[in-house]
Amino acid sequence: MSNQTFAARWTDGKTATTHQATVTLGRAVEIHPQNLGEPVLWSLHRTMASVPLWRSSADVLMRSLDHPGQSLFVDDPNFAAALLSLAPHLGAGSKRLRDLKPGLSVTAAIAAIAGSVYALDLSPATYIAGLIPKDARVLAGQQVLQIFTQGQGYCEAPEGYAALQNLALKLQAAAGTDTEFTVSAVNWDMVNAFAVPGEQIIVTRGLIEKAQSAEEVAGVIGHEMGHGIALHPEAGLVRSIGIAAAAELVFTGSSGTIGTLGQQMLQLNYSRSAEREADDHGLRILKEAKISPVPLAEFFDRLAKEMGEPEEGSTVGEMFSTHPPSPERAATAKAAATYATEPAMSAEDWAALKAICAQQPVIEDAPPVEDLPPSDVPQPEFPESDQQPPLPPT
Amino acid sequence: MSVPSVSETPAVAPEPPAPVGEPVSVTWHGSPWSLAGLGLLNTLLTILTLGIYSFWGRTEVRRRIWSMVRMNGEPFAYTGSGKELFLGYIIVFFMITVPTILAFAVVPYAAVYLFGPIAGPIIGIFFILAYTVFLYLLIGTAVYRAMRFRLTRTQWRGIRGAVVGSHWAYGWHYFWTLIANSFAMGWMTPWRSNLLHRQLTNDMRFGETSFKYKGKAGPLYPPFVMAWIGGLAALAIVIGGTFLITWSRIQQTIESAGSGEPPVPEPLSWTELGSIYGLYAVGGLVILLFGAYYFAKTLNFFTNFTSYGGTAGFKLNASAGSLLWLTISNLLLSIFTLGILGPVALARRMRYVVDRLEVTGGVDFPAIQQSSAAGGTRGEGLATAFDVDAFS
Repeated sequence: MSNQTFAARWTDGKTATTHQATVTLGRAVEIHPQNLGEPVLWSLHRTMASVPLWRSSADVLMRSLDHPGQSLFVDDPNFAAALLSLAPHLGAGSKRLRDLKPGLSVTAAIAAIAGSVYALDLSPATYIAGLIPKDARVLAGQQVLQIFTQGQGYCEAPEGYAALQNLALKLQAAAGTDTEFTVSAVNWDMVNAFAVPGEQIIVTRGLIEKAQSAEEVAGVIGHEMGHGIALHPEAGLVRSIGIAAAAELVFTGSSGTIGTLGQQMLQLNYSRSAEREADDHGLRILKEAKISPVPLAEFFDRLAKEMGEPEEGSTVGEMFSTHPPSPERAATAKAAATYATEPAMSAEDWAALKAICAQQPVIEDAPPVEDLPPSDVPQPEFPESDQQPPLPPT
Repeated sequence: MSVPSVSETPAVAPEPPAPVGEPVSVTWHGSPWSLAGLGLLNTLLTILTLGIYSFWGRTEVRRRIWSMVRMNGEPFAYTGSGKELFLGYIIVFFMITVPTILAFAVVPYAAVYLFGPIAGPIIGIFFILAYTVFLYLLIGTAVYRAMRFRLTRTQWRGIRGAVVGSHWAYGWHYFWTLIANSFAMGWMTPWRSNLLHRQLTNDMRFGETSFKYKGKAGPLYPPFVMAWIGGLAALAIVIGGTFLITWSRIQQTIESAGSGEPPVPEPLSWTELGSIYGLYAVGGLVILLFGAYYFAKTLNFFTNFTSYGGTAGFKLNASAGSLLWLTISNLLLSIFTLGILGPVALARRMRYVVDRLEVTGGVDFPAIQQSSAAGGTRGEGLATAFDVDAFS
């Protein structure tokens, strides 16, 4: 290809004087400023254009990385095409591909990380949850409890309370970890039990009444202890706050207030694998405590049957709605019954536990929340709603 | 409706400097609409890369717009890179955004946890107040650093621009005049913007040669008072008009109050409702017009009292009507395309200034030495984080 010559304007980068020049494209950009002796040579691959070029670009302003400050302006519609055939890196398409590299790499990396977290069932949230000190976890749990138990009193009939605490201590000892659990009963007619951050477990009056034996209650508490040991409530909290903060950043570009902890917790559901993990812990605890898992399996079966044919006014359907007590879970529990068992508690204690809420006023008579003595924990704001209380995780 | 004609304020430009050096003309080259395709492409690639490409996309828009501005036939060049905008954003994210989230979302909880339910909230509130003051102090520095970032990355004939002063000094002036102006119910606005403009302009360089601003705030006050009166007039139109439209009802109410019978409220008819909304529209337009009038006067004044190298002066010919049209049309352009045509709007704004700018006197180009000032690296991210970007 024959070298082409164009009229140009060149500056030396020292002053704002412009020099008329001719430029020849060959193995380099060869600039001949008028009235100046030596030509200036720019290596082609070290040149940059002020805008991405097309073959049809009307003019070209370029500079060289080797000669900072120097600039070359060629006001000739044929120059861009000639330059691009020798220095394709100045083309708009090629430039855009280079510009896309960081974004595409980060996107690919994020996709790979998300994919492997999903594929390997890793939980960064559980790791972070493990870093939170126990005091803070208990505080967060208390906030959640305050919302869940709003308007419901705690059941504390002395004999029943003692029976519940004895059962809890027995199960805690069987769990074999140093963790100390708090187990309380709430005067709530929904059939439910849940674990909140800080190894705090709540069972409802509805559940205690529905249970036909102490072993069934023990099985449920063991399962919730499993959630606590595996830090599932804390991990859920971390996950939901993280998502909220990220969403806030993406959509508003700035930080506002992140909602209260309790509200985050309300949206919490455990994954199937988390439920399985809690079941495994629960069955292990029952075995250590020499409590039969068969009643738990029967309890699961009974609940599953009731969910299949919901009765008028039944609250069972609302419980376990996300992760129902499947026949598979019941079968696993039954299969674990390979050891000698003892009663979970005496018949008297069981009768007392059944009556743990007997001295409690019914819900309608419970004092309104405003009249309750102020708590040490800041009262989270909770949107007023006349709907059914939200479903806590089971 | 026409712009009220006001006797010209004594905003006469200083004596034209003696003609030294080459005459200078600044011209616009190309159509803003040639950036429409780029706007669409940038949006698509930004989505594809989870937002990361936006920094490179914005850089390309700037390169294209800078190159549309020509001085004596030679284009300006934007030499910044997408990478440095991106890094600036990352740094600001970790140094400002994350601490701000922590300050507002975590510190109140942590304070209660550490200092108890009584002292905790008080300590938390004081911390947040102090942090807010700190953020406000940063706004001015962000404006200044963004300007320095752009000027150091702007070249013409290979010569760079610069801003050579202290961003903390500017940030402090920005901060205390903001507070003082709020105590003065806004009446320090012309004085304040004049002060800030002088500080920024006098720190600006092209090469080693400096810009000079000699405007005094006095002549900005008549247009400001006009705009203020315009605002009052708009308010009077809305309130007075509403009063007139509902006059018969008001009378009825007064009469029924006399008779002791409770007034029977009747819903407003569609015509009445429509007229009231129409009044709001008229009032809004009046406020916008007077605002544009003040803004155009200020822009012209700022430009006319700016000189370069002691030999070149500037003259800007912005008018209220054209400025209002530019602002409204650009707003619609951006809103209705969800920002896709943002680059077109940006180019139209730049063209508006270039088309109305005149350089008087001349410049001795061989005497302009290359700038030795170092460029700031992270001014941009901060300005973007505060949304105080004059030019994004």
